[in-house]
Amino acid sequence: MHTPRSIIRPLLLLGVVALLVGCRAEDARFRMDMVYVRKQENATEIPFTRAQLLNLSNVLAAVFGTPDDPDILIDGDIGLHEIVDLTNLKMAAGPVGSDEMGFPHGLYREHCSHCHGVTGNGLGPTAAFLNPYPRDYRQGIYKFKSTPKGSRPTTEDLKTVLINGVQGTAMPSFALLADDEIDALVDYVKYLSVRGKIERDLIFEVADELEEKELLVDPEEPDDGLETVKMYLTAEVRKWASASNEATAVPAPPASSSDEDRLDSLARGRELFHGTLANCVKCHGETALGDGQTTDYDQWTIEIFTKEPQQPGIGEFVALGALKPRNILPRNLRHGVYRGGRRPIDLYWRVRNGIDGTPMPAATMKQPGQKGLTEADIWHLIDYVRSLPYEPLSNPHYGGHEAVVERQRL
Amino acid sequence: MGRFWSILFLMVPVIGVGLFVVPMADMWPMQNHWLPEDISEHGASIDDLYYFILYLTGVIFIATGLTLFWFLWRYDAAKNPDPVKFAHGNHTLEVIWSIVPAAVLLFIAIHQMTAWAEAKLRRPLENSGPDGIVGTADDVYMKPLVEVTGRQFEWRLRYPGADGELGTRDDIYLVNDLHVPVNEEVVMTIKSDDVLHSFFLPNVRVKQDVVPGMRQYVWFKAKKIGTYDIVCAELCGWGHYKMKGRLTVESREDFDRWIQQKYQAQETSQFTAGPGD
Amino acid sequence: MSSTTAGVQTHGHAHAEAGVGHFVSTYVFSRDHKIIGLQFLFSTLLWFLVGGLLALGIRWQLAWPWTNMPVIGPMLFSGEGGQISPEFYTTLFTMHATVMIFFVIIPILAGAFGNYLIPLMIGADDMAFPTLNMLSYWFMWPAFICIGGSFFAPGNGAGAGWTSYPPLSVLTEAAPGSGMAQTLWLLGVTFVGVSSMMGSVNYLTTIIQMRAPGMTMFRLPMTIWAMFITAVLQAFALPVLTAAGFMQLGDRLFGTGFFLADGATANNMAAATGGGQPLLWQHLFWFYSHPAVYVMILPAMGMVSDIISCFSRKPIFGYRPMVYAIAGIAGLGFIVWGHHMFMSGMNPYLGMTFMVTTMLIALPSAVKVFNWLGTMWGGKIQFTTPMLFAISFVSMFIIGGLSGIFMAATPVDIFIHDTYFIVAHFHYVLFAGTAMAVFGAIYFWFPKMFGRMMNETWGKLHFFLTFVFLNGTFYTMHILGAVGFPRRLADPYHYETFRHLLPMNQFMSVCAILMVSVQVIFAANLIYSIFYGKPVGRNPWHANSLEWMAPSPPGHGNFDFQPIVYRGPYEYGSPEVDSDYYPQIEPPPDEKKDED
Repeated sequence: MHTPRSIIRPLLLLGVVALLVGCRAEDARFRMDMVYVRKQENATEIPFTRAQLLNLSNVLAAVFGTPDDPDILIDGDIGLHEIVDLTNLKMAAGPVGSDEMGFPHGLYREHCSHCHGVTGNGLGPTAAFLNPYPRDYRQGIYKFKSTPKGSRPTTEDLKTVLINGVQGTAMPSFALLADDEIDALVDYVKYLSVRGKIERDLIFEVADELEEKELLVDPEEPDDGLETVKMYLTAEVRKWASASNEATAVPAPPASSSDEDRLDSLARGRELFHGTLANCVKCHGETALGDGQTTDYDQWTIEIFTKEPQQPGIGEFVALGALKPRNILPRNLRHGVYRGGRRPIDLYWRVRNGIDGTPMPAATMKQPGQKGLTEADIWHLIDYVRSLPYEPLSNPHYGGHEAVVERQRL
Repeated sequence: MGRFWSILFLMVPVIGVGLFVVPMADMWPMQNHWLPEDISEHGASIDDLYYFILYLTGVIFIATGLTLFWFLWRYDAAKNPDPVKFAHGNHTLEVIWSIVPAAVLLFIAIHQMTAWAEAKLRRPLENSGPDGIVGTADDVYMKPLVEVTGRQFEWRLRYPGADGELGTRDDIYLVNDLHVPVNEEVVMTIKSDDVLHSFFLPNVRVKQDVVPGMRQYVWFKAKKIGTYDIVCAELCGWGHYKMKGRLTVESREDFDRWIQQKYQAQETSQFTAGPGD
Repeated sequence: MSSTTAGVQTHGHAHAEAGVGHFVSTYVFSRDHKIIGLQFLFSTLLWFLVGGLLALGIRWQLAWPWTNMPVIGPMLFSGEGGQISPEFYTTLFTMHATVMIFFVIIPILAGAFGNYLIPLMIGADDMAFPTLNMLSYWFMWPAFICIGGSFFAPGNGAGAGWTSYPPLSVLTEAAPGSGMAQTLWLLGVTFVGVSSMMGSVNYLTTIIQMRAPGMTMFRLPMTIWAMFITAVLQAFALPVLTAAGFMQLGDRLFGTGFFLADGATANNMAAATGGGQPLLWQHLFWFYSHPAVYVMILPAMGMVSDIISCFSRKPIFGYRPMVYAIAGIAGLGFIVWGHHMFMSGMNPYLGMTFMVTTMLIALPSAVKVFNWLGTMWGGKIQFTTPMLFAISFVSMFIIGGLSGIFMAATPVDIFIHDTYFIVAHFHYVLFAGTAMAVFGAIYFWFPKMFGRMMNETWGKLHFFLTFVFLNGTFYTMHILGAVGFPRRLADPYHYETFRHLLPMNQFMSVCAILMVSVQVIFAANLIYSIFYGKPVGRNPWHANSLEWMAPSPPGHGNFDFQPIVYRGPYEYGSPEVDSDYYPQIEPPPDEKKDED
């Protein structure tokens, strides 16, 4: 009888080796926006080559670094240093933990990446299961801010979102984090946003401006390509830097000292809500339940899918990692849930500037010789909207606010 | 080898007790590895009961562990020259060790009913109503200080505002940042927006699952100023670990000032764009 | 020995067929209880490995949060540097518990040992319903496929806890694993339930109807009493779980609203119909699952009794009280389910009543512990591997049982509910208790199953290392629970209260990794000994009960003679005979003299 021990030991060894081999993951890496690449390929009917994509990847890495080691291209007056702090970035980047001195790093990976993705593309592992989907930073479009459509949010806007969360969504409040940690995360979001936007711009550049198979930055003659990169970078950084100047001022509401004033304001607001100037009911519905226009899409979806999602090609985008398209629904105003914040100034900004990335339009303000809303009109509208949840019609059957069982003292 | 195994089983009561003594005495390496600070008035009844059971079970643990060790040592076949004690049992012993534990257990059961009633059944009253008798239908309950709503994945708070009524226009809405005045009996009404959560305040010894469709109440009296954790204690999804809130206990003046400040911030209706961030 | 022959009974199927068909009907779709028992044994041991690895995932995240998790990290989360997602953590603990409870502990006790031992110990040639028995094993396979498949569904697996509380488990948008994965989970659990119910019917009928002549109920070994009462528990409690499972499937798939309040919603999904009550699930679930935990310990207690008596060379102390205690535990087990729900929002008055019944259930458990001690007292204790595991069962069960008293006290439960104190309690009774008893039972009955001995030295080493590391892993959970350290949190270190507990968790995780690694010794010993262990005869342990009188391993039909029983199974050290054991089938001396 030969000894079978000789079989068992090698088997065990094999098992241990196999386990160890499977032990190391690659470092976290940024993912190229292959959906946008495919979109450009479809538009130009010229496929990207592997070399082009690799080249793009290397250029971005040279400019922005990696998820573990962020970088800010500093070249004279060009760089992200105008809008972010490298120390903050280092605190937010990298794997979760702390360095030898005890300073934390990996804040982004600890708190944000599983929804927003390591790349800031809104494609983290949890994203597919959330409603609404987490924000994709890469277009530089943000919904809840003090600046008008087309502008970037201010630092204060981003901080507010982090601190308050977004009510009614899966974005939680991070108010309990330390101030410096919040600052670090805000800077890192800006960094990812700029990186994402530059990536898009460069992809577009390669598809639209360059010859087939031409590399963006030719290793032998890098200057031309780098100039292009710097141009896009400068433009984007400028937009972020000027955001605080573009914040919309909110004037004081008209005085309403008596109940009568208040009732007048509400009546005026109701009139405007149902009127043609503001045209709220088109989307929010006659009942304000948000059932007026439910077939639209938001900016991030429309970009890929357009309004006919049944067209062929959706599958290929989903296969590349895009999330299944969902309609964007107008807010049900009778819930009293205000995603962008419930302060009067928040509501003012939503109505006045619209919500960037969504079909919610900016208000048409009164111009000389043209019809439009006045500032006072906007306040009346807001008064009316704020009163909606308290109307008898709004007795909600969603959300379980009615007590079904109240435990009485027996 | 029997000696070795007997000693091994002796280690169970020895190390077992040691591993409780070290944290209870706040010794290295288990400093601060014991019950968190109790800042509530009623928490003592819970902690006292915990210690009572701990000491009782500790005694039983040591006694049975030592007995087991002794029997293994003494009756090791390799070292035991005596013949086997051929017995099928002992009626008297069976009676004794049935009745004594039963009595002890029943004692514990009845002894703790007051603490349970205080925590879960006796919701604080404002007054006992016109008839002056507590426990009748006209009792007036204390109004809740705040409404806590558990939601995936945060605690949404709603203070009634100056008019003292929940559900009116002056309500103050906050997230995760719960303040209460010190040295006052506080009632909170708790509910859930979506799935089960559990409102757990470790330092106040309060825990209650929140159930969608059901409005419940918790109450306590905090006796020490400070900040403490609010923990979600019922699995509610992927963000269960993230449902961290903060309970701040402060003086009545500070509390009033804070609430006022929050109300003003909520009503901010003016904004001028500054020169820079 | 009686000279009457009772031949191996034929079962009507042709042994003459050679080839695949014969192999399939003999070893795959066998209706022989021994083969079925072994099928259960090997399937459950494989799932034990899976469950253990899932536990290591949990321990990894708790010790080194958000770092690159071995194997899983590169496989599933390589883009994130191996860092798991929070919903994956919910899958880890959900599936760890599900696998351990439904695919390991319950089937190994009832399916493996129940099946193998019941006919042998009562002197029968097989179960009452061999085909039903075969089906009860094969009904596990759809469960294996459903649960195994759930890992590959979107969301990587059910994540609502093994307790599957609605609304989280019912609202398909409430959690990533709440879609297909949760549905598969429910189906899997339903299949397991059906398998168990089939088994129960079989065991009850067999034990009542097919005992050998002279085998009265009070001459049955404790293992059989335990299996019998466990079968009663399963038969009466499982239908409630199955019904609840169908109700939950209805809520998930067909729009019913048993467990959803009016307007139930999560994650901005459209409101469900509702009109139901989430707490109803908890009542129905725990009505089964509390008796289930006794299903998960009573057979172990029975086997431990047999092993301790055998290796103390003494009768079991207080046989009848032990039987009554098992019955008491089972009976009381039906009226304590509310102690899982003290904090649930259930009427606090119910909390009081359940608290009283729960306190009382400590009593029969205590009686059993005292009787085991009494069995060892005055004996001649042989420290064999099975005996070591059986003794450790007693020692560890004392800890698990005493910690239960804390949570039975409802005011204390306010603090320790859903903390690691609870986790410590059930790991002590289920792992340090039942699983250790199962290891002991494997070492004990291995010679009967395979005709060979497992290696004693490796067995003792396996015991020692497992014992040390399990205590390192689970004992300090009591301390964590005292701090209020909550269960099921992917990252408890967010909280000021728990931040400093990381080093203790790291210690526990290291112990856990070592504990699981040590099981390699057991697996190697098991597999090696099946083929190359020392061959033995019928009764290597010199035990009394009937299974040791059959050949090792027993052939088809079990006994090559007709067993006739003259006494109970615990007559070790009896003054009536010279040897230190006195088998049940051995005729008394005067009858023998008559024959001569």
